[in-house]
Amino acid sequence: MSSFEPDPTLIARCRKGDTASWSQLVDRYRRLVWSVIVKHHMRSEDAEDVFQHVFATLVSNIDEINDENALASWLVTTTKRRCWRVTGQSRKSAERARSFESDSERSLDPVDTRDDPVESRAQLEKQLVREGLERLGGKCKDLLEALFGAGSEPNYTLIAEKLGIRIGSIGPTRARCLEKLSAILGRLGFSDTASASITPAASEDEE
Amino acid sequence: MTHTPHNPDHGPGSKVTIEQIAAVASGAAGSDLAQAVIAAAARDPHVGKVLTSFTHAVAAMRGDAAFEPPVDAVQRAKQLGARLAPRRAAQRHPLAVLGEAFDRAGAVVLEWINPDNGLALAGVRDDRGADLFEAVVASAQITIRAERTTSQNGIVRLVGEITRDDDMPIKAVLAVLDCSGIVLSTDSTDSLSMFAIALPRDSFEVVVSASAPDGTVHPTIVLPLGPDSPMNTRRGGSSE
Repeated sequence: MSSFEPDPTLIARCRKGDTASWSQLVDRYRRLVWSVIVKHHMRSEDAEDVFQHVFATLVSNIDEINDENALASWLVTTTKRRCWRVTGQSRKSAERARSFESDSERSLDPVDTRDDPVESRAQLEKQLVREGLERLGGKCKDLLEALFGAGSEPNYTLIAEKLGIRIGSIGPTRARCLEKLSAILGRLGFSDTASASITPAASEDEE
Repeated sequence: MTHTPHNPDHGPGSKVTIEQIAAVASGAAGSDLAQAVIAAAARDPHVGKVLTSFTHAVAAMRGDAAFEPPVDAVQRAKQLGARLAPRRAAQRHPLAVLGEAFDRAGAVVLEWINPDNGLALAGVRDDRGADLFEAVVASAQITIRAERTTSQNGIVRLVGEITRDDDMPIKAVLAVLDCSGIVLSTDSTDSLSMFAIALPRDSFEVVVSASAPDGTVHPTIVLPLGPDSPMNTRRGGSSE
């Protein structure tokens, strides 16, 4: 297992001016923020501006975070609001943005459920798995990311070369790593949100 | 986790291994094995729970690399924090209030150098739709009011005034620097304490050095304008 620093620890260090902790925080949440932005189909330059804005808002308001454990939810909400504001093209988006105007953009409330709660939950679940992988660390993290991160059919030969393992050991290692990850996710509460249905992986590939 | 014996024929009633469950959850198993594992999951709640857990974890991981933001965007976000975060450590410093005020402004001022989206600085008022900035700097005993404007020739300027708390004019020199510390533009307040300074696209920070007619020297103010890498340098580049 890797030495995983929980959010409250990183936030506390950021407040003291620790730039390394800030980098960790950006690395931890960069994909979450970007995944929200991607769903808004923005121009690339707008997307990058939103990305900067969200983290700029975070660094500006890090002293005011009351619930350090709700950072992921806050980032999702802040990113969505910013996306709606920048795009502002569809009437629906504009109405949503206006409905949020009364709230401070810097509000550090937990996730706002007035938008699509299923989508928000899916994004937070993905973040939970990212956190699980970060906690897992080591070769297990590398293997699982190599196998599933790209989304395409994994190239076992390349993965074996990259990770310095035999092709034949990928299957057993994958099982052990999934088992460890599953245990971590259970502790993080992931199983509480996951569906209880039993379906093959292939049917759940699509978001 | 209980490992059940491996049975290669995958027949009805056969036991399944953790490797086989993982293979099915990963989508790497053939249809025969998939059916055998699903059947086992239906019979044995423990197998079902493991399969469900693996399947959901794999689904959440799959394709996650597609959500990787551009490297330079991540780098800029880190640089912004690296510049702003250390200021928070000096909370009791006389310039703390000023620093916090401008930190907030600086975070928003990212938008100044992005004239395309029509948004502008909002500063400490948190009115992000406004083009106005106002900061009462208690430690320096001055007030800065400014507005971002775009002239007819397209040059973006910061226009405003700097006064003392008693509204008396103040003599101040302003300089806009790039990320290397090179002065891009300068201006000084006139007799009415007004100024108008250009904000070229490589602008990095504004430095304000003020002194009162009575000789009082006010602390130098540094207004951060954005990340270390100027935003315009990536406009023509790839974002992916």
